[in-house]
Amino acid sequence: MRLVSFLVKRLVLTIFTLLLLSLMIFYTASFLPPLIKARLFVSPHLFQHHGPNILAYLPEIAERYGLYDPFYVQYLNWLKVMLIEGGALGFSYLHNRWVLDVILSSFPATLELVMYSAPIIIFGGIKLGVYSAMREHEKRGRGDVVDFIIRAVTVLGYSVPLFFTSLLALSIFFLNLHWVTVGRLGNEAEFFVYFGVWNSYTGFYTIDALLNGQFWIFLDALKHLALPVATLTISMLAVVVKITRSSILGELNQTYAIAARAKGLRKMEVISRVKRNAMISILTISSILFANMLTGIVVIEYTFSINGVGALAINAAKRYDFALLVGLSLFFCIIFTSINVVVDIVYTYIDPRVKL
Amino acid sequence: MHGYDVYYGCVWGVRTAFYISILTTFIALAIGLVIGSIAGYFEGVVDEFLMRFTDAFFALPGLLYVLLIVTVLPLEYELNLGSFNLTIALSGFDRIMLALAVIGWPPYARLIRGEIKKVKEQDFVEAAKAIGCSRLRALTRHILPNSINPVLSLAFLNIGGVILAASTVSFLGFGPGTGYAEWGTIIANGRSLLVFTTADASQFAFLLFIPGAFLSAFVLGWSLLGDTLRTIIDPVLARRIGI
Repeated sequence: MRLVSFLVKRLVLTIFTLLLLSLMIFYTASFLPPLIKARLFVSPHLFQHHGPNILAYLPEIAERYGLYDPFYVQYLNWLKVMLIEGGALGFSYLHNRWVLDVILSSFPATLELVMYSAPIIIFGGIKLGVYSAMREHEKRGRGDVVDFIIRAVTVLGYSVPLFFTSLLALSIFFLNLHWVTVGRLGNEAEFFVYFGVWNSYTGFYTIDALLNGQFWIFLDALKHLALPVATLTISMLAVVVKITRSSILGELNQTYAIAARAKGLRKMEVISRVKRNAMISILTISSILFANMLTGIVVIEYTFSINGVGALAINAAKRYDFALLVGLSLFFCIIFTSINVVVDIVYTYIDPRVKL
Repeated sequence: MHGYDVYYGCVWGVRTAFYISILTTFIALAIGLVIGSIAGYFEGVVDEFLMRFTDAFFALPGLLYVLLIVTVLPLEYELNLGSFNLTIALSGFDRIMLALAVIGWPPYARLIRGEIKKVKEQDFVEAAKAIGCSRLRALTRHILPNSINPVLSLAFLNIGGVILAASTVSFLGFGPGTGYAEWGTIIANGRSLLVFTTADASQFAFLLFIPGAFLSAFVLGWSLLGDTLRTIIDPVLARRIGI
């Protein structure tokens, strides 16, 4: 019952947050002069057909679509269309489809990337962080392989930009060694997906390939995922390692940990008890982690030319498709706020002291 | 390909990097300090509203919002002040810096609010009020100096992150344009040469390596400085978490 009332309270707060964010994003987009916005209504087809003369109608178009109205009138109109008339986040002139359609059709590619890298980042990061904390606590284990990995990961993640790492990986494994190609699938597999007997169940090529019984496409998709997942993981690991390490060291100095040690528990047993409390601070930074992940995904999709949401955003910004860009921002606002709600619920399972 | 001297660009890029990172952090810090200290000092409705506002910013997809600002803001912005028009000229840098500051302030606001709530209850603040300090004076002279240290060390830690974000934006093709020396842009040029060339790619590898090395060294330096500063400012915490 308490969970239900919490969810209702959070839902109200989330709606308030989303309204605020949409207002902000819409306000930012309204910096664009009305005539340029009107220019976006003129499709290339129209332009080709009528020639440059059609630009003389721009003021009229701007007038008709209310682009000269004050900001709040435009915002309320937009909100009305979105909420009441089912606007699907607007219409993308670049793709000639509803924005929500465009986003949902390219979302699986992004999700596939996250699906393979997130477990490694979370569990691997916690493992490495615990090891690093133990090493610091006992002053031993310096100079072995795991220590080297931790150091390399921390320096890489904190100071080498992701686009540099991914370009480096690309130039080594793609341009020099010719092991992989960019994109999501190789040529033959792509041909098969488009023209062969292929049912799309989830949009994830790895899972779809297994469901279709095409094992070679599964291997091909996996081969293309390896490099993006690896670079994304390396850049994200550092944060998790550092937070885990510092929170475990902090917990080890708490009195309950010292008491457990004095009682005669072995160090590993103490650490396994401490880990649960250390998880709290990892959960706390998880929202920052997801924001970093989004940035990472945008860069990765750009460099490895994967047609996911990030590539969509860059394309939209370059081609001035503001409906798509605003829609994408709102889409991620919704995702982030729902992640935050889930994190708040998980809090209570990890730390029973926290009340909903 | 563009007829640039990479070494020249890298060296002048240092100046750009300092300019962008320090100024952006300063703007973000200023916004965060104002909002956070108001929220921390005045409790109740003001605090609640400002903190919800800050929380909303945490849910903002950072890079997408930066892309939106960078593409939307015109290079010349006319401010109509009734009798006369004020024209504000924004360079490509200014747009990136503005965007990064807009998404960068919430952590500072949240941190300073917590610190102020702790300091506010202490006796010397009561004493200052008792001898007749105004609220503003108590806040600026007594509370802020005693609660600003963690925020400053966070700002130093973030300077490296700011230049990473800025160079990411310009790498994606939304940089200040030609004529500016910026590491992200140089790397982006190297990428286009690397990916779209028909010749042997390995001969262009230096176009990535050299600006990338400059960028990494810059960021690493700032993060080491930030860690050291945190150790000096807060030795107890630093010993506890083992920096």
